[in-house]
Amino acid sequence: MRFAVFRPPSTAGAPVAQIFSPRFGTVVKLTLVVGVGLTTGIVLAWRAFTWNPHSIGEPVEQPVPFSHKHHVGDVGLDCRYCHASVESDAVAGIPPVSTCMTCHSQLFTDQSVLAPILKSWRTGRALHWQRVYALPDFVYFNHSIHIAKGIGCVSCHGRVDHMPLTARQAALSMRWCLDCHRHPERFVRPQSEVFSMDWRPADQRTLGPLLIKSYHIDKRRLTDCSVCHR
Amino acid sequence: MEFLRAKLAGKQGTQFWRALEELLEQPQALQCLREAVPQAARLDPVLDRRSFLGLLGASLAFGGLAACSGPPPEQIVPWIRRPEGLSPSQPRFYATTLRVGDDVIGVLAATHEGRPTKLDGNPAHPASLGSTDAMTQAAILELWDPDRSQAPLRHDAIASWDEFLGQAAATARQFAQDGRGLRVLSGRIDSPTLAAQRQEFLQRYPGARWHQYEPVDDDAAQQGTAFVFGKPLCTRHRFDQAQVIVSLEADFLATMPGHVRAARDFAVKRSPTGVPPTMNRLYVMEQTLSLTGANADHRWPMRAAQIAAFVEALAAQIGVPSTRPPAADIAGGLDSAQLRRLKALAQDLQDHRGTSLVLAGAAQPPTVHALAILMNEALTNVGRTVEYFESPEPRESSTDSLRTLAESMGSGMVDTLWILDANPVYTAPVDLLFEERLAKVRNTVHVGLFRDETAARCTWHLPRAHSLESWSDLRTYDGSVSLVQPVIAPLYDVRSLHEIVAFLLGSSRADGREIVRSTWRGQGGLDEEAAWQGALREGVIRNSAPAAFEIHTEPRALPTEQRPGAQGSLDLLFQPDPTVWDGRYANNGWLQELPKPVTQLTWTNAAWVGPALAARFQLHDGDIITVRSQGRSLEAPIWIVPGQAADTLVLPLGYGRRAAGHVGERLGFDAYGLRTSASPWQAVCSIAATGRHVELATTQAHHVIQTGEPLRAGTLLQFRQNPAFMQAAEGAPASLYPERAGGEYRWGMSIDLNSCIGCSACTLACQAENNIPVVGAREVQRGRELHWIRVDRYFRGSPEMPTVHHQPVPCMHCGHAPCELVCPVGATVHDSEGLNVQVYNRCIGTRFCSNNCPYKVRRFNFLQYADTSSPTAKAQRNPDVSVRSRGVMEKCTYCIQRIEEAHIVADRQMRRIADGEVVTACQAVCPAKAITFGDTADPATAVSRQKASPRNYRMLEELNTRPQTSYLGSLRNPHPALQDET
Amino acid sequence: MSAPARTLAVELEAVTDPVTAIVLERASGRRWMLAFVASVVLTALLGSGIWVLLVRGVGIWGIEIPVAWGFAIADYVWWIGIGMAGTFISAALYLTRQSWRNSLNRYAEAMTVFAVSVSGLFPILHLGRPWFFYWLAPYPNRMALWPQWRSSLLWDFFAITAYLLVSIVYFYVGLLPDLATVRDRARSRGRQVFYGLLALGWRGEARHWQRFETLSMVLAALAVPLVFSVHSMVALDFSEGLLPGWHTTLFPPFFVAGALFSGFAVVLVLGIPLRRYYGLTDLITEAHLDKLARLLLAVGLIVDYSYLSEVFFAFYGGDRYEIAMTLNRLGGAYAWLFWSTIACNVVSIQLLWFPRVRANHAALFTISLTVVVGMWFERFMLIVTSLYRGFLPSSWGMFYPTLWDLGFLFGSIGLFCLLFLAFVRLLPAVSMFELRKSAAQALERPR
Repeated sequence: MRFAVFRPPSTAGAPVAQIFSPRFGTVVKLTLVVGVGLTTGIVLAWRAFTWNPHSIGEPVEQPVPFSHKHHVGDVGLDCRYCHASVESDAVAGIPPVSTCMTCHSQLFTDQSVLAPILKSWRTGRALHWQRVYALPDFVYFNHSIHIAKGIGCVSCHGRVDHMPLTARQAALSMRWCLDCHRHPERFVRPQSEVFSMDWRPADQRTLGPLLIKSYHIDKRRLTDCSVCHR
Repeated sequence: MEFLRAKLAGKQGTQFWRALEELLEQPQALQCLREAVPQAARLDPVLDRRSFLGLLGASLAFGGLAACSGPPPEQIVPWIRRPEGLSPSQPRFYATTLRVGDDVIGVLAATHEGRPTKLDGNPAHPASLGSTDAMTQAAILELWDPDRSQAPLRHDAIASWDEFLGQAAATARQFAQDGRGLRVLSGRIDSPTLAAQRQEFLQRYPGARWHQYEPVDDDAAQQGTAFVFGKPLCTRHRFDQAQVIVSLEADFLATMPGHVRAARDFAVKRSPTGVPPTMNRLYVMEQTLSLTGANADHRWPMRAAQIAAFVEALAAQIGVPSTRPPAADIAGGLDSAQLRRLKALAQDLQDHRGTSLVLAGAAQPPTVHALAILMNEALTNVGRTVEYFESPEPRESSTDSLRTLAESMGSGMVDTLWILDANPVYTAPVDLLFEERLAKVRNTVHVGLFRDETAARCTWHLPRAHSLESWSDLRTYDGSVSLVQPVIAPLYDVRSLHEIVAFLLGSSRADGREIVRSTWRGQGGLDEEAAWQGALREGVIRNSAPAAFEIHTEPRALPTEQRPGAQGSLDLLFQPDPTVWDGRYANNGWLQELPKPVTQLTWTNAAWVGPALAARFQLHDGDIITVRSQGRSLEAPIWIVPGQAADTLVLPLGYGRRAAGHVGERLGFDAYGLRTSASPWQAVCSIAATGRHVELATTQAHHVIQTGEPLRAGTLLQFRQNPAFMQAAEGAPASLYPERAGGEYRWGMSIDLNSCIGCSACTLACQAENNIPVVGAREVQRGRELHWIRVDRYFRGSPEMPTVHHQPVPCMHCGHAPCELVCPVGATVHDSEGLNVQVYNRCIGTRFCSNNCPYKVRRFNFLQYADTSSPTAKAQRNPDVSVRSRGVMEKCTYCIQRIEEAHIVADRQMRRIADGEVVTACQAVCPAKAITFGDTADPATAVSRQKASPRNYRMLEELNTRPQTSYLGSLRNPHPALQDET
Repeated sequence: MSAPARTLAVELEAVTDPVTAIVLERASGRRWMLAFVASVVLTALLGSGIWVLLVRGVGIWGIEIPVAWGFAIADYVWWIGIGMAGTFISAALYLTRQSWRNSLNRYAEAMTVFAVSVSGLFPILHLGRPWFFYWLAPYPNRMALWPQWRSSLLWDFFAITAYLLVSIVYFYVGLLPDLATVRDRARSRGRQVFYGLLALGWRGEARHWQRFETLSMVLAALAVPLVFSVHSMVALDFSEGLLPGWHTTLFPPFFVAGALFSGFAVVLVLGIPLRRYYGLTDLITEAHLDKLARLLLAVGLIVDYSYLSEVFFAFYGGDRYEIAMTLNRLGGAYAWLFWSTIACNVVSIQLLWFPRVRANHAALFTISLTVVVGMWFERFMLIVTSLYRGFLPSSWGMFYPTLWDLGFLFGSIGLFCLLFLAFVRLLPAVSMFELRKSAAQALERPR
């Protein structure tokens, strides 16, 4: 008797033939699942790729193909020779053209790659460098304090002495910042090694905590929002 | 009035109320109707003049959506040669001087990479001592105002300076022989250099004349001194020496020259120190409520005539040689209550010979000024609490000077008129018909910051350089001179006032610096460059104040005042607007939006009426009335001001500008329309209701306090009996949660309500420091103003004679912050040093935090308020503070940027932050030094000592929010014999 | 009708024909068209409102400091409350084997799904930066940040999402057998494909039925607790705040009651015209309406009790802020709001005590409508009266709605009606298979 309930009640005329085969239902479900999966995947991928103007490790086009490899690696200039305000100021500072001219008024003056520098020097029209390490406006990063507390240039900028053309080495995401702000002991160096390119800690596990103590680093506030955001 | 009294009888003496509406309030049902009906009436979409910002909003919205694809690539543009000692991110400070209102204040201008961004007071300057007032803070915005005129105009067409030089040379030739027909009109001359140039001008053109007109003049004071001493003198008061102060409508805390210094000195004497604790005592007699009156221990509202009578009686009482026979009936005009006051006051003054001070306000007639001087002399105050000195610069009576000019213009005797940094077409008394007469002058030249009403009617308009762009020197209230130096190269093609006057004197290539420098060769000991540099660095020239004048008075019979005051008519009092002054700051958005201290109005002025008058005419706030005076009339909305004398109407000047710029035009009404040269301050008028009504933008809530006492106050007597009488019996409630583990510091603030005079300078300083945008009248009406620190104002007692209290309210930085609990994304959190931080870039704008904030100190960007388009607005901003986009909650952060800066400097040197190293913007600007900030974890700091005071209390502490901002209760010091009055 | 005529076939036809007819045979009809156009217009209004909102910001509404929440939140609470009744009827009554619900549950569930979807718009739109609403979700991100777990808003977010998902699934699963019926009766190819796809290849096999029964049971069991969790969370959105009038632990049950109240009212408001217009009087009978009316009265009384106890506890608790707020509510600037709430939600429903009123459809309809309006007033009153007068008199203020506030309210109503009208035309508005089952069981019963 119950069966009757399930039979499609016969209306006028013969029952209509099924237009979908039993298997078709599965097809429909599969298409739905795949569709949803694809769209989310595409969105995520696009987001990941377009986050930064240029991706990590990709050299940035500059008016002058300045080579840190040459100046730091080969010539052995100290970072502070050009980035003079790094110890005293929030920004390390891009050197004025006059700094370049201290050497290049004599050296390689005929090199075509240097032409923009010399031109800028003559005309007094400034060079426009492309920013490699860009932070959002609501992040207030201060170089001087990081230097003072023993964070090496390499930690964020990588081995510039191996870079013919400068490229970003760090994600610069908040997670990346926090990696260090949560565990500074893993990254701090002795004051003497801050500017060295190839310093390797013998045993960071024991050295780190000691340095944290000697630098008076208050780890409690390193993860306060107010430290970077104002 | 009767039911008003009845209502009052119901209300306890200690109960505070905020505005009269509450007391004049209709029966409940009507009240509901009045408050509920507007909802229907005011249904309208927010389609205001900011609609163009909508587009910005759009770009932002999509900016937000596109945030997935990160910021656009940036560029770095290095120097060719970096200037010496210019740090990329540290500000540099330059000492200079500003003329604000009719005051001269020394400032330190902070510049970021050459952009002036903030002004602080110059500690070395006598008129500042490190503090400033609101108008000074706003001067920075004036510098960056995009409406400033940017090139010379001839008949409103852009011309070049060379063309004008030709014109100037022609003028010089034309008047070469005697100069008859050549006139110059300037504001009051308080610059030695300008005075010297005037001297040179008069020598060169003997027949010419140089007029001075200041809409907010001090003629009465000049005449008063002239009467006593035979020549007009300037006065400098020493409030830090005065134990008893009698102010005859002298608003020395807000509008009188030197008021910033006065507030500091007053506050020094105000704090209850010593054993037994003592305070100074302030008596104020005035027609309407002023800031000074609001801080008085005894404030007696009187009509103009009553004040004069009372002063004469007082003078007689304390033995000023009789000035008007017969002395007997002088006190005749006073009723018993006044006699009682008279006796008490006279006695108080007698008890404080040499430590008392009597001073009169600009609107008071010369006789009152003279009497004030004579009383000070009789009380041996001269040389102790008050000094008189001769101004080296020539002083003239403003109205007389302008009248003579206008008359000779009318009779066609003026061929060429140079108007230097004045706007007479707008500010001149209406009976002088200046505008018509100006048309009769063949050749007119106007020099000014803006293309104002006068500029529009002159042949030439010359843009003058802003004070922050030019060289000059200025003499401040006490006579000492400070130098004005440019802190930035002129933004536009402009010249300084001195340079332009030099053109008139025939020199074609004028160098402002050289002109000022030459004034000081051979005087002030500034001959050697070193001394000059020193004066520049310090911002003030040492010992440049003239010596005090040697007293020799011979009592003469006072001229009898012809007092206006026909029976049945109202006294009409004009006064400068507390924020836009005589109208010159009309285009300054910051000042327009600053709630005016007494009325809490923004973006407009209103005719002030007393409660009794309002009741008689059945008027409510915003009702429009017609004011008739001497055959002229104007329409104005009214505002009820408690404590204003009966039958007195007050009209603030400075509004109804016709040509001020995009911000300042078509706001309020032009009170100059009733002002006559015969009596520029005091007149008589009659009023009539029009039945029309307008909603005025006010930040004031019209309600009494029914619950709690956010503001605690008492008298010195109570304080002596029990110093802790203001503290809650049951301390802070217990908490279920463990105390949050603190960091190395615990920042906190203490605000001394006893020192606070309610001037609102803190509000503007905060606005300048923290990039707080202006929202406009419409938004203020909706209750969307963005000020991070507001100054609440409470009345106590009767509406005719209320006691007034002010309470600055920044974020309380609660230890148990209700806002933090409810934010779903953790955009407002506690940091390890006790700050309740707001992370703008994390905020998604649920606004639950604001709902849950008992102090309502959180502000929300309902629309895109911050101007992200105009370059000048960007240039003014403080680079250390994020600019908030729409949809983001913001609030006071204790100037976190300054804390972090101090932190970095100290941490670099591996030391603790010293006490006083972090100074918040509101603390720095406060003239009365009412705000103390620092580390409360260390008991030795100033703020900890403040919080240890028995007057210390925390607002709404019964809510157990554990605020880090606490208050020191306010004390008043009434005369023992007059206790019952308060 | 006579005994021999009462064969199974006839019974089944009596159920199936009118219902499928609405979807397959009947023309739309003028009244439906008018209603449809009207709701399209209102929906367009909502759409444009949303556009302007995204471009200009929430400032287009009347909200300000201190009243930072306004219509948007009132609308949100109102809609989500309306949604509740559907789930209650379909799930709770299903679990308790109340077979009379069979003729109501379908459109009640539809109402739930639509109401919850509409309400879901508001919490997102009322954000200052709506495009960042996903920050509420705990997902690993490059900021290395999690949401703030103490905030009720966060849990509300979870509650709504879960509730929406479950009610959609429950609704759709319940539709399957009837979709199959419609598919089989559809004549035109287009309809066959449309309903064919929707039916997900339902062929009424015993296997299908077995899974179906199990799934319905599970979903019902999920839905019922969700209903309560959602409304408790909504309540906590307020009671977490320390404002007088909000800060009370009594809110969650009161909100559940209020939700049921408004929900049943809407079920009636939709049901009465539905049965009349589409001649479903044999399926949705007088008895059903009477039962609903009784339910409405019952929960109404609970709600009224909540009003009473709120006032009582304000004074009993003796907190001066609570007392001030309550007095203010009863006599302040927004007293008219409070008293109209009382009129709508307390006074009007007392009529339902009389059988004659319950039997009178017009009266029933009007009363239900009054209740719906009254419930909106209550939500709004709750928000504004606590906000506009906080602890500090210096920051007291009034709330003045703008046209956009109204636009969003009526626009959302338009969107809801649009969805419901479409539902009536496209899906079987009454659960045929359940009615058929009960009919069959009725026949089986030995008399």
